[in-house]
Amino acid sequence: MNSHSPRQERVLRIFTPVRCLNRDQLRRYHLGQMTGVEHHLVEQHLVECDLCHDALATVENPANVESYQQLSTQLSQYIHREYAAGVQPVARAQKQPVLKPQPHARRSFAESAQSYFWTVVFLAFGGGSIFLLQQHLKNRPPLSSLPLRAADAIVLPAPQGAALGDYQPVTTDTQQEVKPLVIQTKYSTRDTSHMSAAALPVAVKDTAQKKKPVKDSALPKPPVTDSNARALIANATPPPAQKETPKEPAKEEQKETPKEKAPEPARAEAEKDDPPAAEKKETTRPVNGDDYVYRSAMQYQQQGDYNEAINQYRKLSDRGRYAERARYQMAICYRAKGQKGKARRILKDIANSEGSMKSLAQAELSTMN
Amino acid sequence: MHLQLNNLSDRELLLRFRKFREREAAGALLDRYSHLMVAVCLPGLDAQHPAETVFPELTEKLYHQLSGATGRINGILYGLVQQYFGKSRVTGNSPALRDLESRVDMAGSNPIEKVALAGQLEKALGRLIPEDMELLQAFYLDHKPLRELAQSRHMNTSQVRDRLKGIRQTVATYMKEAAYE
Repeated sequence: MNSHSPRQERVLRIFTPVRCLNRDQLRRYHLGQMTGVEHHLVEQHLVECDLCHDALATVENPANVESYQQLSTQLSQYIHREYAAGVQPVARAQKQPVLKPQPHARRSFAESAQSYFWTVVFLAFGGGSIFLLQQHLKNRPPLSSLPLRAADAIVLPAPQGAALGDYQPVTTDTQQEVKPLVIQTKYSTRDTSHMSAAALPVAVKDTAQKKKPVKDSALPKPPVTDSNARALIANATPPPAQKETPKEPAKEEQKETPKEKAPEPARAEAEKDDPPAAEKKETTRPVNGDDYVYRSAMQYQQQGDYNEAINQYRKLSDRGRYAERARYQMAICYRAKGQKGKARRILKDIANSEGSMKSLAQAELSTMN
Repeated sequence: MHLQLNNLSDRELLLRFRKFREREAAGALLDRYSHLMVAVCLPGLDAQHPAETVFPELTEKLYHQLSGATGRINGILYGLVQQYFGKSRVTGNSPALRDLESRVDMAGSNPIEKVALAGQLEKALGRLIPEDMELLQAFYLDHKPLRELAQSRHMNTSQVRDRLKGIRQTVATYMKEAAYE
């Protein structure tokens, strides 16, 4: 700002506000250390500002200079201390002890309520999952247990050349003590009292193994799957393979032949002769894949689910040692479903073959005719 | 942070304090006027008004008035000090003078507005009596110091200041009257 600026600018500056004097300006104005322009600006401000005018008047008094400087420094420090960021004023700080607990209590209550909520949710999910797991285990299809029981009642015929031990039915002490388990199919007409013989093979086997090996001719035994098959067991003629079996290999097989493959009368007698011996040796065989499939198929058959049983039997019909028996049981299932044509065709195939199920197939064919 | 706040104007610091409740902005404002507060209060300090109680109380009162302050801080602080020491209530600038200062401030970046406002001011100055016009011209347009003006008129500087202050008020009133005409 100078006196050479246009008049228009200078007229407007009459009413242009000027900032108050700072510490340095106040001191320099008092000491006369200002330039002309700055001096005029300060005087222009002094005209309009009563605060700066009175302050300058105080500072111009030499008695007040020392106290002014001291108090000014102390007040500046006080303001820096009290009004710094994050510092609460004294009046508010006195009220804080009264006001503080409420938001803190609300916050703690909210936090605790939230923690309670999540705890309840966690417990509900945990309990629900445990309940669902229990329900799942309770309603799980008993394929792993029932086929073992079914195998107790069903005496599987041993195919030729197969290890005899593989066909030992799995029995337990409780099953023998309580009641012999018998498969009850819907077309079973046989009295359960006659079925006790089906639970005897282990005892008979054990005693017979001790006393005298069973000949190979006694090996093939028809599977007892239903009443018709059971009825045919007694009258069944030994398969041709039994007659063709030489006697020398029979000695070797005597060690392996389980006594359960012996005829039922022999087993009954053996049980009468030496019942404690029957309880001595009971072995539990591991179940392999084909066994499992065959037993599950038997289970489906017993439950009347012939379609699923046929599917399971079909898996075994072309492989493994259960092939012939699977096809035989598949024919039984077809017959039960009323598809006698399919049943007859399969039975014919079995009867025409030289397998161990030939006689049973022929008997079924004669029954169906 | 405090150094950055010191570079802001009073208006910006007040805005930050009102909008964001920045206590540090208010502290910067209080610190900016603390030396003036001390200088104004110094004659009033005595046994009944010790500095240990006067300055914290005044600072606290000013802090609370800053939240609703819209005008200039110096006027607020001066009125607060005068009220605290029981002196006569000093009226601040009149509304007409505040409006005129606001118009001049707003026209600072608008040349057309500045020309129009300067014309209106020339008309208002033309209504002044010759003595006042001469004093106004000597101080504001010719930049003569107050001491020299006082000596030439056989007055003290305070009398010259009060006379100039009255002339400004008169011009502002003329400007307001011209706006209503």
